[in-house]
Amino acid sequence: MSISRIGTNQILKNYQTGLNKSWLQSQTDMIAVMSGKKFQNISEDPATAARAFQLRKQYVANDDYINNVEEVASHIDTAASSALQVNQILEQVESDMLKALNDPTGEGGRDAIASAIEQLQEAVVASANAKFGDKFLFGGENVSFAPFELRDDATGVRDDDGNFITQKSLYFTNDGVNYYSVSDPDPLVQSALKEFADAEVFIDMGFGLEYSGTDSIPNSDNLVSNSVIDMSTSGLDMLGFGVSDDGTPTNIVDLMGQFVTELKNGLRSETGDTDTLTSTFGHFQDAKNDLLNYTTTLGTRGTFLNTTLTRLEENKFTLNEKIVATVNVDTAEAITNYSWSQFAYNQALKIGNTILTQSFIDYMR
Amino acid sequence: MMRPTFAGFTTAQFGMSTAMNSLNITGQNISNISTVGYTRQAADQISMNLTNPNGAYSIGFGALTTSTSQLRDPYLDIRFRTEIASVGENEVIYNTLTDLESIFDEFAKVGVQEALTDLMSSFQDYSSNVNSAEFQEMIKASSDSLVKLINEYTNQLDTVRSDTVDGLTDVDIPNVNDILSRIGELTQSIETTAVIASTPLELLDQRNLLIDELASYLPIKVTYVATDVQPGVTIDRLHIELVNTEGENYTLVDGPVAGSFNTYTDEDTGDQIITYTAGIGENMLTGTGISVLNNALEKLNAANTSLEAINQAISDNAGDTKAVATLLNEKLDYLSYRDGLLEQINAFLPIEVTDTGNDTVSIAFTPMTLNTDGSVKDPIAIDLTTGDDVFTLDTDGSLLLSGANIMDELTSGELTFSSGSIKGSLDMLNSYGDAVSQKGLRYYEAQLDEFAITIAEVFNQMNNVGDPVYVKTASGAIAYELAYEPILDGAGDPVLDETGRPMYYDEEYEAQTGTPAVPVWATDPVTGAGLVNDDGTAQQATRTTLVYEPLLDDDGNIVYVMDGDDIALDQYGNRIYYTDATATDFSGTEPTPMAKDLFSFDPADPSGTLRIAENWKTGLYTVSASQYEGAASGANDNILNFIGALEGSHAFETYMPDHEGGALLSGFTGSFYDYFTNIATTVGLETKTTYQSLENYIILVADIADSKSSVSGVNLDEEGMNLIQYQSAYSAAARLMTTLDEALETLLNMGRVGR
Repeated sequence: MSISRIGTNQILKNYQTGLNKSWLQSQTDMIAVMSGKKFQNISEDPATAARAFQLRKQYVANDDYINNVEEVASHIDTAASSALQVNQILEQVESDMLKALNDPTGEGGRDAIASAIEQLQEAVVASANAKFGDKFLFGGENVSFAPFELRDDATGVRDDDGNFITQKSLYFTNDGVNYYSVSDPDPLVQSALKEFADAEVFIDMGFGLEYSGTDSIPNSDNLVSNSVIDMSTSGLDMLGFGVSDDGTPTNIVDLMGQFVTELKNGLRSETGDTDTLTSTFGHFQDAKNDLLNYTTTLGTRGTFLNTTLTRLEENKFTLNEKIVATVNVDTAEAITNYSWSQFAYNQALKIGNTILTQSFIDYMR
Repeated sequence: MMRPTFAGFTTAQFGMSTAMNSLNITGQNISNISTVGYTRQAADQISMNLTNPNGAYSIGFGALTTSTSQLRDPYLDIRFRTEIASVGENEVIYNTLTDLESIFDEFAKVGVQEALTDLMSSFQDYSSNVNSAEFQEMIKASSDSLVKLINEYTNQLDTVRSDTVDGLTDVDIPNVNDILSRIGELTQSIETTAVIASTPLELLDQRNLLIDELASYLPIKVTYVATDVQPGVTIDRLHIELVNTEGENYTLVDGPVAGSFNTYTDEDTGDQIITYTAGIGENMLTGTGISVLNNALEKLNAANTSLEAINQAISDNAGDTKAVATLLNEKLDYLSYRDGLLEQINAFLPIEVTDTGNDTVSIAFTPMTLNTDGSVKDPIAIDLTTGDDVFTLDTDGSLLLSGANIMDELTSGELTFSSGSIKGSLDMLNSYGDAVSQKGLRYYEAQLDEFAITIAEVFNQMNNVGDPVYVKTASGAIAYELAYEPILDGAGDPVLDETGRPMYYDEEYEAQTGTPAVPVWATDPVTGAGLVNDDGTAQQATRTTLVYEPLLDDDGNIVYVMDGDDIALDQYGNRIYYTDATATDFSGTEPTPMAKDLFSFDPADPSGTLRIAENWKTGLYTVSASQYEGAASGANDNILNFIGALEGSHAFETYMPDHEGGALLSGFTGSFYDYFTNIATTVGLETKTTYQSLENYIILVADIADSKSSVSGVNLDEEGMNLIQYQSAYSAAARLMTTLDEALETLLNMGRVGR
């Protein structure tokens, strides 16, 4: 609209409006410099703010995943070192057993070997009951109760006094109440033990926790297991459980027990029969190999966790970069903007000085 | 006819006079340069020419200032008032939205979003440490901060609401009413002055300023209607109408008569309602107005033409409605000749009586004839066959017309507005924010409520899995439930047996064998009637055994079975409580597992009352780590579920209230975090959009103000030039006089020539 004349007051009012805008702009630019943020309220840039909120969420979630990976990695590392410890004990057991096999008639020697192996049985169980923090490492899903217990079981063999020879056998518990012999041939017990050994404790590590089905509320039955990581380490898997086809235990502690019993039996009968001992020793070596394999698996899991950790830490860096780019000002640009708006405001003030003083009346005689 | 010799002097005098008038007006303009609302004035000047019909030439007799007028463009006034209403509306909405934004905007503050990520981190930490109580406590603490923040946001929303209501009811509406009444008073002064003298320009300025102010509150239409106020005197009477959305207009100001707005909260819907009461005379319909009216009616009584007489006359002619209508009109007409009483009444109550047949007459009111929907209000029909009085006085002295209160008849229903700051406030308070309406407070209140309901429902459902939890007795056994009320004496205290234990009715109200130390008669717990045995004798209440003693908490209070927030009742209405009876010695009610809810809320105000469930807080149960019963101590599958629920999508839906049809209002599918971010960005977007329209309207109004100023504003340069111009004119007129004087001098000295 073209205006042919304008009132003096309107000139002043328009000037004030302009000056006010210029002042506000310089304030906004100053706050941007001081806060280092591109904007202070969502309404200044809702789309960018929404993006920033998403990035923040991802950043915090990524930190959670890093914590989880570190926690699980420590757990697995500790489990692996306990397994290695068990391995070392078993090396000793193996050499003791070989001694016993090579010197089947020396009664005193075999007696000593028997009791040494029994002690090493205790040591293996102690390692299998190792804790990480306040959690038992090898209980599988059970972390609150020591998973293994060594009990003296009566055997069918009598000693010289006619008493039954006792054998140290391994028992497993999932709840601190019910204990199961790991070598109990009862199929029900075996299937229960298998369930305990297979139990998984899943942890979310940012692989996109996923549930199948359409329920709006997640149900464990529908958890897609490759979207999470299993952190459980089962002592049953490490030491073995169940019996082989010939009825021999596959559990390494029980095999040690059986070896000791056979050794003691051999002492009493003085037959010097080494066939049974050799057979048990063979089973022991198989079980020892299984345990080594188990240790290797733990190592592989550890490596995978390290790779995941590296990935998550790279993610963290990238996310941080993104957040900075989305939210933070370019300092040089912000300072330039501020200087410019300051300059504009100063100029506006100067103009005001001339507007306010001049009118035709000043020039009237 | 010859031109008189001295006519030139008069011309010079007129010239000086008009120049002086113009100088005075210039002075008035300059001195009012800072007066708000001042309109530039100018002298209306004419050239006088008393034409000589016979003369061969025609010379005028100078100039004359006929009047002073304002330089004003009515079209610009209309445009300004239309646009300023939009500024008012957007300004109120923008201000309220900024308040809302400061609640939901978590860009620079710690709030619900962080509480949600904290909660997630607590669950993540817990997932690998489910046997550790401290990680449990962290989840509880994070949940507690979350619900407290939700409560806090709800409180802040309530504060914004009450501030907005206060702003409307205590500031805006009283302000509008004040403006209306001041416009009425100014108009009265303007009309009075206009009749006896000229138009008072300064009063017009004041009134225009008030009308401009009024226009920022409401959409108005201002017209000037030529009205005869006295024989031969016509003035342009100010008429202001409220333009409502239905296109029907309410008269706000008619000359000196102005109405007023009322506001109240609808108890059913919670809506803030605005109604309008039409002005009915020199006094508005206030206490004063009513008392003036009643005084007039008392005078009617004194004049022996009482209401009773009118009512009697109507009653006498019952059955002949035409006659009654005629009679009523005649009576009312007749009154106009008596002390102008009817005029006084009509000033308040312009009425017209019509025979509608069927033994009824109807009385129509003219000032206020519109319903809420803008339709014309039906006249009050009076059934003459009932014999009821047509006019009566109510107990408080106000006039009732056939049972209808005049006040009510003059008051409109709920008003809706098309623009203005009142509309802005109403939109923010009443709108639900569906596709066609402003997203106001209710929208965000509903969003917060939905957030609270969803998080409580999802988490509660997820936690009610795994091992059941029972209330335990002191010995650690599961506490069984009993519905037996202790027997109370007349004072409401439990009746004790000989060993000092409270006595109870047993389940079947069987008569007790033996004689209790204190005989207590069994009564029906529902009707209170005494129970009788088969032989007709009064039945005694049975004392239960010790195992039925109620379970007491640490403070010695009975522990009741809860049903939500209320004590659970059995079929007889008796309260159910836990006993310290154990399963072996108690054969009664099976115990029910406790609900393991994590959150609780009152459905009447979900977000304001969202809390950590009391039993979780006190540690009766914890977060269920596994969804399976008898799971091992390290089983964490349900914690994964919680993580999944926090990460995963939920359907958030809000609905219109039932009285508005209950349609879907908003739907969002996403995580809790996304939902909350969505609320925040919605406020941000709304604020931004409103700010942009506000800016646009402000620029538009500033443009119109510039245009107005180009017509009406005082410009010092111009006035300076006017000073020179009128001063020169004055000097020139004075010079004319001295020139004429010299000419006359020459003429008068002619006789001496040649002497």
